[in-house]
Amino acid sequence: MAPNRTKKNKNKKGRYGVAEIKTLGNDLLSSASNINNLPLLLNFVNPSSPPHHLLESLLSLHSFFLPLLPTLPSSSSHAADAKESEHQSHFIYNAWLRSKFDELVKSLLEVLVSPRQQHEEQEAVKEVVLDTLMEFVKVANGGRFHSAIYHRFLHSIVHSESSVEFLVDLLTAKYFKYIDVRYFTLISLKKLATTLKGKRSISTERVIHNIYYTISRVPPFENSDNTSDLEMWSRSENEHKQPCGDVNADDKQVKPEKHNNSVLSAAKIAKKMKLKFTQAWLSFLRLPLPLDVYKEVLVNLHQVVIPHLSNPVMLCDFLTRSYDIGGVVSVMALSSLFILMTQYGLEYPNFYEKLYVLLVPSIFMAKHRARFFQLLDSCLKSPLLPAYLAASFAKKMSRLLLSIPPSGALVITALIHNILRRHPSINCLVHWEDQVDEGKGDKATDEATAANSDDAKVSASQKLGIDHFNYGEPNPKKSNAMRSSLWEVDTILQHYCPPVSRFALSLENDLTVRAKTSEVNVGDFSSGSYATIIGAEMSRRVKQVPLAFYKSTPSTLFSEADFAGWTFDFKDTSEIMHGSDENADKNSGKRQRVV
Amino acid sequence: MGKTKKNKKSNKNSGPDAIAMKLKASSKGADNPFESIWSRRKFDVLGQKRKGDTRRIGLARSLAIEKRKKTLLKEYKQSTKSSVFEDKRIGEGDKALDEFGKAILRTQRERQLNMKLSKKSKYHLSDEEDDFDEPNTLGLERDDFEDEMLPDDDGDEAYETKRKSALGLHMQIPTETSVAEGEANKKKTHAEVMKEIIAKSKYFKAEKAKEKEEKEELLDELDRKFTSLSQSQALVSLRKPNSNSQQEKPDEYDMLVKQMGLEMRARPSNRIKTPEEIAQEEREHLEEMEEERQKRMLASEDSSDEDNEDSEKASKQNPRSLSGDDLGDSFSPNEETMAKKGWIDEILERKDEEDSDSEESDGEYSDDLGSSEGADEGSDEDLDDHEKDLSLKDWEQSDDDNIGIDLEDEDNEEESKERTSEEVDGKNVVDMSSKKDMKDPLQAKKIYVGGKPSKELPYIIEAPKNIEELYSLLDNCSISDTILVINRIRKSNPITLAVENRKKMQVFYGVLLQYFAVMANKKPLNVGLLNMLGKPLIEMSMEIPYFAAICARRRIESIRKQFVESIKNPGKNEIQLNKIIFSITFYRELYSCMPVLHGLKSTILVAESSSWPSTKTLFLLRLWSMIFPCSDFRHPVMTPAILLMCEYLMRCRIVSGQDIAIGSFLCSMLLSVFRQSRKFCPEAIMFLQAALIAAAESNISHADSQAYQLMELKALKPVLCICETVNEISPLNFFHIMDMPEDSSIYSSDNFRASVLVAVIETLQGYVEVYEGLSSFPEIFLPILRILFEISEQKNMPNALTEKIKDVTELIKANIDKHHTLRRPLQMRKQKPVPIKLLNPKFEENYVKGRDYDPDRERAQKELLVNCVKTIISCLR
Repeated sequence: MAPNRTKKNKNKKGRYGVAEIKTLGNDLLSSASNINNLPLLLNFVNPSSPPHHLLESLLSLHSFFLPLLPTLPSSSSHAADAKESEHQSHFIYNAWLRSKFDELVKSLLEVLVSPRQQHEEQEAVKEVVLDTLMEFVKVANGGRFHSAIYHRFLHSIVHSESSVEFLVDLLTAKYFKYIDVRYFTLISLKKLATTLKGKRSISTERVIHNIYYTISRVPPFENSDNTSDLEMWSRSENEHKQPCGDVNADDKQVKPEKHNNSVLSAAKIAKKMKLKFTQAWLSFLRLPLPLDVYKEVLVNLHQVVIPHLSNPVMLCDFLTRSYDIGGVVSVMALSSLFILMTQYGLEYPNFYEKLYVLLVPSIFMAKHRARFFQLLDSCLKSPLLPAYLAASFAKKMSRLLLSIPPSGALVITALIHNILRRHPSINCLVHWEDQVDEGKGDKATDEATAANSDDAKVSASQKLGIDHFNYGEPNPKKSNAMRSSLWEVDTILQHYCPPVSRFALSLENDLTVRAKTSEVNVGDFSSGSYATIIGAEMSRRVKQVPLAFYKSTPSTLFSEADFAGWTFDFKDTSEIMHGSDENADKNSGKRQRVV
Repeated sequence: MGKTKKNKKSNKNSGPDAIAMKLKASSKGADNPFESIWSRRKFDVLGQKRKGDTRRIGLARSLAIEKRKKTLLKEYKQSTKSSVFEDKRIGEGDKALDEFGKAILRTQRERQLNMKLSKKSKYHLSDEEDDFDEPNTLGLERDDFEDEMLPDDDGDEAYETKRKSALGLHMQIPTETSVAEGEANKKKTHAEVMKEIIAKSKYFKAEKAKEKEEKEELLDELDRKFTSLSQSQALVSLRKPNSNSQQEKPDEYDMLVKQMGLEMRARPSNRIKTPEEIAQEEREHLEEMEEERQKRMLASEDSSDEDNEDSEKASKQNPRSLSGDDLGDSFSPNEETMAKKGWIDEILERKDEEDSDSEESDGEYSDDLGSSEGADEGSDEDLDDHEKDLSLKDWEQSDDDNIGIDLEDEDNEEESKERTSEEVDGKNVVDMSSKKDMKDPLQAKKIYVGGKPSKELPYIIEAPKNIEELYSLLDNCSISDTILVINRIRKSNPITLAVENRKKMQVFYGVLLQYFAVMANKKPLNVGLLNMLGKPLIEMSMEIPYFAAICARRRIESIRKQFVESIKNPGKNEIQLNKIIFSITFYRELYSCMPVLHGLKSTILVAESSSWPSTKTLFLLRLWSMIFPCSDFRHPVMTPAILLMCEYLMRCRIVSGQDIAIGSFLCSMLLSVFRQSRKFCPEAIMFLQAALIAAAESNISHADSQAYQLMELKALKPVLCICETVNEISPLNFFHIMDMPEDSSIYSSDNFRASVLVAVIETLQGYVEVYEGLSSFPEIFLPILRILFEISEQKNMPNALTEKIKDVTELIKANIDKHHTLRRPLQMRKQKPVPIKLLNPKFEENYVKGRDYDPDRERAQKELLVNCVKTIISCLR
């Protein structure tokens, strides 16, 4: 019967006005006899129907289903319950209602996810639909949170073809403040992620995007002691006993058990929240993330995720994998890894070797360099690092000075400054004791060894100018940095950029005297760029402006003497030459005096 | 005590009397033992002379009293007497003179006396004063003598005697008078003395007159004798040898002396003119010329019939006919009549004329250049204003009105700014028109070649206040005329003369800079004009350095903003445009009077397609590096400019051949900047390295090199790899490259590649030379050396190029070797000289007994420990 009617209605649908829908809804609500209006109205809940119709029908349907829902049997369990129910017909009616309800939910989800053009109306409609849906979620499962509907909802969001940002934002703003909504979001996201893991298709990337968008918006659970101020979306035990009151007596007895077993109180959820959060994230991170998501995850991981995980060390697989990738990704992974190592006792073998390899010129142009430099500084903070390691870092960074922009040079100078100050043993890199002093020391030793060392010295002095440092060597142990000297620092004393050469001068202070020197805050320089340096130069007050001096002002802008390999011929030379005025000549004679 | 000593000494000097007195005194002093002081001797040493063991104070005192009695007391007593003591010092009685004046008079007198006394000294040169005082003495006499000695020998003796007598007389007189005066001072009264003196002077006068008469007589007689003698035969026979001997006499030395006598004394020259005066003169000169021009213009009506040869003047007689040339600067033909009228009439009339003028010229313009009406109207107004200004200046003394007009102009300018900023399209039209104008000169020339001369420019030109005015001024001007106009503008408004001129010139500077920028952005570059514009810009920045720097800084900022935009979103010019317009409106609020902003507006229209600098930017950067010194440690303009250039090199992607050409040009510009200061610039080196890598056949081999790691950011392709043999390499022409469209086929030709490589290697050589002193030279250039080796071994390399590469590699190698042998490890820590240990005993304040003051802390603690142990042990016992 019903399908026939719906077909008819579909044909006639165009003829229904808003008022008619309203009357249909009113009829439905006023008496059970008009129950046949239900499928009619259901037809209007459709992504392709006009929004006004949709809204109107939705309103009536909403108010129709809401009181009925707690009494409806769940769609899966109806077979078991069927025999026990008193009236067969009543049961059939309920089952029918149930199917209609399922139909409604399905079409609601379709509406929510459907891409549409008219934005404002669309958004309003979506908001109403979302509210309705969430009401259903709240009530449908006998007053408990209906996780199945919610899961379907999230599933449709995640697998949606169109942009879901609006929807997720709406969800975030309205419902993520409820702890159970969050809780079930995390659970279903975890399920979604794990189901996705095996598959590989073109759409996975988009799905992962969507998952990330949703999961990154789930606010982490703040571990507050006061559980009473945690809001629940579905009603708590005490409250929902009343709506259950008019249900059969048998149910009443069953329910307390159920509450104890499965229904979650706020306190319980709060306990489990952290675990679910961790599980959701971990299963998400196991997915093959596309690069942009990957970077974003890495950037946010240490602030958003790590503090709220039950056991952050579980991230170490993910992080070490990313750290091993190299390049920008490992630079970004460093910050999270650093937190794991410092706060959660993660041990990472060959950490410094990998950090050493990361030092390449391109990181000085990378986007997230500021954080990296600060981390680099704190990684090298320990005075317990072996001297060879500190020397290798210092030397490699100083070699980088020869190829990086001035902002990077400032950072490096600061880093080297700090390293030199922390490790007095590598100050031979910047200050090499004279041979005379060594000779004095040698006097004590016997003559034979003195002769030997003299020979050694002669051979050494011939090679003194050669830099033994091996730039390409990835292992700091073998880089020979200790036998080198930081000539590059001396070179950038001649740097064209005034702040750089000025700052490099500070390395001339004796940093072994710790009392008189202080560490440089790398953070002051780490976010530097051309913009900041030029900005600083521009914001200096112009006090005086010296000018170039010419005995006679040059007549051409470009001369070939200055630009080797270029010519500056132009065809129309004749134009200038002819017609030089007597005045001009006279002036040029006079001007020299003025100048 | 001192007194007595002195007395003794003086007494000793003053001979026997004093001794006698002393004896007397000592005999007297012996009577009174209280008057003497002596020190007792313990031992008398034989023959020892001792001084001052007895001193007699009382004696000395009494002696002194005695002396006073003889002198002072007498004077005192005489003071009441009727006879007056007269002070005959010079000027003492003259009350008009102050003390200083008196002193001067006295010293003068003293000097004169000294002069007279020292007159006989060898080196004394007679002074003018002396000559004046004694006209009768040597100077005059000698002249006569010289004159007369030549002709006559006989006269010599006579003259000699005469001279002697004269000298004698002269010498006698002062001595006599002095003696007489001396006597008079002693005996005679004042009146008597005066009488005597008068009598004497009279006598001398008479004597002098008599002498003179005698002298004249003598002279006459001599003359007579000489004439008679000269006529006689005897003299004639004698004369020749005589004259010969006379002629031979003056030798070189004498000549020199004479010459020196005749030589002009050095005189103070005319004062050197101050810059202000020079400026004033220049302006006056121009004004003069302008006046002349106007006069000629008026007079030509009369003279036109006379000479048609003078076609320049003839052309001015009917300026209306010269439609294309007419800038509205022509003055009305009835001006001569106006000059006779009152100034109000004139202004009124002129207004009418202006109206008619502008109408007419409008009409003409619309005929000529249909599209450029707006600009031309502006020009008319501008020039009319200028005319008005002139007239006001001529006819009124007050400057207030002028200022008022200026202000109005500024207001107009403001309005126009707003207008232009709102309607970019309108601006576009103006730009278009100006472009047309730039093409016009050629046409104009063609027109005026036939007999008609180029138009004459006004001599006095007010400084244009915005770019439109400048455009209208420079309409149809040839390059030389443009420069002339600019020079005249500068001279008409010299900064040194008036305060408001400074502001005018600042505005004009901004406008000119903008004009320069606009010209540099034109696609067929007018290089000649740009070159010529450079000179006045440089000179003007010397006059207003601060303003020039501000202009440059603001431009650098805007250029950078554009650059950053283009890097962020390549190919999105519209957004860029909007943002810039926004920034302009923002800026205009800040600096409403600055015309600089106009430049920005007009430059946006030619938005840069690639992020590499445009021609305009390159030209501006070059201009600034010429205006300002490059070697300063920190310069308000050059430091940001260099940073900007380096940022270009570091951040722009190398996509096409043009990119690499522009980049290497930037490198060579930086080289010219750093040549003097030898500053290290990593960006330029890295870029050159990248360019060389681009020339290599395979990139893979450089994967580990430092530069490559950076270059992955640049998406480097082998753009410069030479595929086929190239026969000849011509140096790159910068202007051609800048004129070329981006996707021109030239950039993929092997000829182009080879010439870019040449440029790159030349620049590299420059850097090698400049950086040879840097201590990490080997580290900088070793990677480049490797690439160079690889490139030179490629098969298609032209010979000339391999030669060049070889040279550079040799140079680099030599320098690296030098560094490897000479370089020493760093010794950056400045070691202070260790002070010598002080061995002074150290005193402790508040010393407590038993406490350990050992400066060696460890030892002290050890001791403390030992003591503790000891006490514990003793306690235990």
